[in-house]
Amino acid sequence: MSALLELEGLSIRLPTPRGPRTVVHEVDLAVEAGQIYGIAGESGSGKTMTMLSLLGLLPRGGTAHGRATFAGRDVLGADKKARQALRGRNLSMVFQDPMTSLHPMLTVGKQLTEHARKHLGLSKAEAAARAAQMLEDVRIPDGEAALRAYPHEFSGGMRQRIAIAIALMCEPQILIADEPTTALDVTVQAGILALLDRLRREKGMAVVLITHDLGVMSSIAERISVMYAGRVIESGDARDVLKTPSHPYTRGLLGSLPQPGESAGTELRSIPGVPASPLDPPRGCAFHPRCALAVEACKEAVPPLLRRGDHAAACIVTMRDVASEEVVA
Amino acid sequence: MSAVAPTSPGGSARADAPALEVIDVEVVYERRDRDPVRAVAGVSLTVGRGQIVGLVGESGCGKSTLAKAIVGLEKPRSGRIVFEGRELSPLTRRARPIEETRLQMVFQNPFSSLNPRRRIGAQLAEALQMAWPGSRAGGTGSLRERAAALLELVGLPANAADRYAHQFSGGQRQRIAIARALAADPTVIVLDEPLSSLDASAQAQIANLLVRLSRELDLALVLISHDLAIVQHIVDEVAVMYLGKLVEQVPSGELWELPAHPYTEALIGAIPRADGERTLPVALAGEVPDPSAPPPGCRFHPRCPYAFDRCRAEEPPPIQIGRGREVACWLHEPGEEPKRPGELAAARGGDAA
Amino acid sequence: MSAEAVLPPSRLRRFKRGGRAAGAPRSWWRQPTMLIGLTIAAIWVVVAIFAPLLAPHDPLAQDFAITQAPSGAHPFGTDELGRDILSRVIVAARNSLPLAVLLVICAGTLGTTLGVIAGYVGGWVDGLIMRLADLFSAFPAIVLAMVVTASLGPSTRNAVLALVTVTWPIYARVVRSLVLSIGQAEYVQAFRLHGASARRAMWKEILPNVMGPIIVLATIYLADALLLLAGLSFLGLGTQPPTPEWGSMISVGTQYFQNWWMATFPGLAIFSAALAFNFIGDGLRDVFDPQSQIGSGARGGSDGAPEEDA
Repeated sequence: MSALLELEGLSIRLPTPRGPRTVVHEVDLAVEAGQIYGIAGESGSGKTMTMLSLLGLLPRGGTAHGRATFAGRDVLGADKKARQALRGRNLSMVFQDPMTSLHPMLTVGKQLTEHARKHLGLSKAEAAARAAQMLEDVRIPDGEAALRAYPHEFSGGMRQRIAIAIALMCEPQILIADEPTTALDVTVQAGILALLDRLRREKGMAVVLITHDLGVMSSIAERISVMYAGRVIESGDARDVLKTPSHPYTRGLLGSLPQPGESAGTELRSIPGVPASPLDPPRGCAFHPRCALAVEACKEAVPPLLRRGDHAAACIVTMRDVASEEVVA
Repeated sequence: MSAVAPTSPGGSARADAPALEVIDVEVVYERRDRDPVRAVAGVSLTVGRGQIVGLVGESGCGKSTLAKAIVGLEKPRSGRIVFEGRELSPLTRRARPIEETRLQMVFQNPFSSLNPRRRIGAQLAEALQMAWPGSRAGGTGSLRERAAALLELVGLPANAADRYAHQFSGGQRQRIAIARALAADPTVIVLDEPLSSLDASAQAQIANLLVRLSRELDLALVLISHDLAIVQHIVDEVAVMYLGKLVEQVPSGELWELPAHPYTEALIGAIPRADGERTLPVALAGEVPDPSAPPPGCRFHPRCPYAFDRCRAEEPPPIQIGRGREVACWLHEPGEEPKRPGELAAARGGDAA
Repeated sequence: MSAEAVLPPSRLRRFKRGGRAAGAPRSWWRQPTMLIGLTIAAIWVVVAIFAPLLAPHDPLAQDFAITQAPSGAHPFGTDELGRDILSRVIVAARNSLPLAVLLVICAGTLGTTLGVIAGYVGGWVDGLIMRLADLFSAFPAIVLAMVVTASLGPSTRNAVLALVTVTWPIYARVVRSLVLSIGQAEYVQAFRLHGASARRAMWKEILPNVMGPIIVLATIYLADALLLLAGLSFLGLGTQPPTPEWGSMISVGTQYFQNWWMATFPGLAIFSAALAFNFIGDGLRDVFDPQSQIGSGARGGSDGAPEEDA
């Protein structure tokens, strides 16, 4: 059966002072219904932009190319009305900063019911009841009072729960969560991750989790794509990718995480250099200047995603055994 | 709380006076029409020469306020700060005596901690000049050389001196801020979340730089952070803060395996592991209480899985356990070997409510 | 739904920046309005300097050819006493522009000094200065000017005096707020930790960062000053006849409504000069102080937010 959300060769071009530039290159992705899919990468890797294109939220002048389908229906080519229907009803998004993603001047109740009434045509009473239920689902205590309160009366973690509740009001089939816990304390983060996992199970909803934090990814993601400089450089089952990473970048990222239990004074490892910008990437493999395994061929052509079963990585060195002649141009 | 000299490699275990002593410091914020907030409710801490101490806690625990109080940017309501044997008073309009400038600070936000309108070199030279008032005699030449030496010490090229702050990345700006602090030839530097605004590689690089500087220059560091994983990696000792008080003080080598306080245990459990095992980190029940109305007895008791009657009634004082460890929890007895809270709670058996 | 409405500010900032480092000054030659402003201002400065050479007729020479429409001999026409308006407009530049500059310098210096004192000393001194500022700015400029000139007699000097009293509060308030906010800035605190006294911090760290915004403010208020002076002259409280002054020329012109040229040309002169100063001020602000709110109300644009561009 085909996936719920499928991206094929998705590329995004943005206008820059120096002319239009491709910032996301040829992304292939498939999210099944009810699956938690993780997109990992540092800032500038293109992970957020990829998802924004689906919602029609690219910056002015940005264009998306390639194919993206939701339940078989084309997303990129859809007209404005169809896009609006898609947003909120089928695809919903939660952002990083709970301090600014809620409207400060509207009550929580208003923000929750506004969407539901528009997209589902509910009456005021129906929407209010649903909102109260949603707050309970996300474990906000005293839902009735919460509906009348304003966002600033809540802590960061609670606000993020409210943001999730708003995103869930129309029972979307996919929830896109962009760095949902990065701004939160670690104990609060644990609560939000548990919430996302539970909601996914209860509502059969898919979640696309975008984050740079591989620990967060490891906690709940089932499949992962790792992005670097606008390209997917590794993808596969989360367990495979995290336990036996194939791409040197993924290995570097995992290796740089501080290991508990190591005694104080040992150096923290990090990938040398700075992340490549998608606007001006190095020739060939964008990671090669920082890669300990790089060879001459790495500078010549962008490596394609090479597959070993279900696990793919864009590296001609580590995936040597599955590389064919056409790769090395 | 007072910690003895570190036992793990790094800080020298000397017997002479500690570099910095924080003694029962309390910082209170008045608020209009509302109850005052005891952001720091009585914290004691000792930092030995060349020792790296990590102060860890989540938002609202008061660690930034404590950092500012230590260096004198905030006035404590009570308590004392003793720096190199001298009583330190908060900053007033007057110039600080030179001896006291050897306590320095690096701020969290690398974008606002440097003057945007002055060249880096000028800012460093100014700091150097205040540290060595006689250096005018040598002319700016020697100041320039010294500024270049500072930049080199933090891994930046000498020509960085001619540039402005906005021309550098966050990580580089933090290096400059560290260089500026070093200009005063400090014995203690307090760093308020120096890594939080940086990306992963910059974090690692700056963290390694700090450790290297501490070892090479016999420099004590008080590193404030919310990220327990990184902090534990680079410090000699960890002090854990919750709602204005220290709940535990432990050498970093023992922290991971043997946290003694339930909150420390919860913090560790909440850190997600990137091991591919899809294990959810453990969430801590409840929310941080309003600091202006802390719970009676132990401040952590409403969220503590092991709380019992005494916890609700009396606030536990810090007690010594093991070697050089302190904890503020009724589960522990003074002088005993450190054990995990779960083990102690189970041993209590019927007492647990 | 536009990106602006939905995207959180952090994302929006990243893409609106367009390649320039956040908060970095933008080169002045990239601003078209500023160039226009500089050009016009330059023209007026030249006109003011060389006025006697440029004026085709003696601005005070009266004639029988009164209220003549613009023609070859008198491109701007003549006024009610037969004087050539073009010449009068040109020579008036010599009066109006330096006066406006003088006003800004006097009010600016007084206001800045009081603002620095208020911000630095604080306490009751601060309170006193701010209440004085409130008091003086509560008066409509014209009313106060009328009071001053009624007691001291109408003249150019008194008009400037009256206007200084009314306009210094603007500078004082802005400077005081800047001193207070910059004084809290971390780099100033770092400086204090290195052993700088509050006074040294003021001179070396705070004031240099205050001067930029003040220059911007002064330039923008130059336009205001010009208009205020013209307004006073319009009411007959400033420069007295027969000295040509744009404001008084307009005033006379309103009584000769059907002779449109009498008010229009001086009006255009004021308009162009004020506009030019406004453009320059805006441009200066973008050069020196991109994050500033001065003179703009709620403007968007770059806000120099701390975003790590990894």
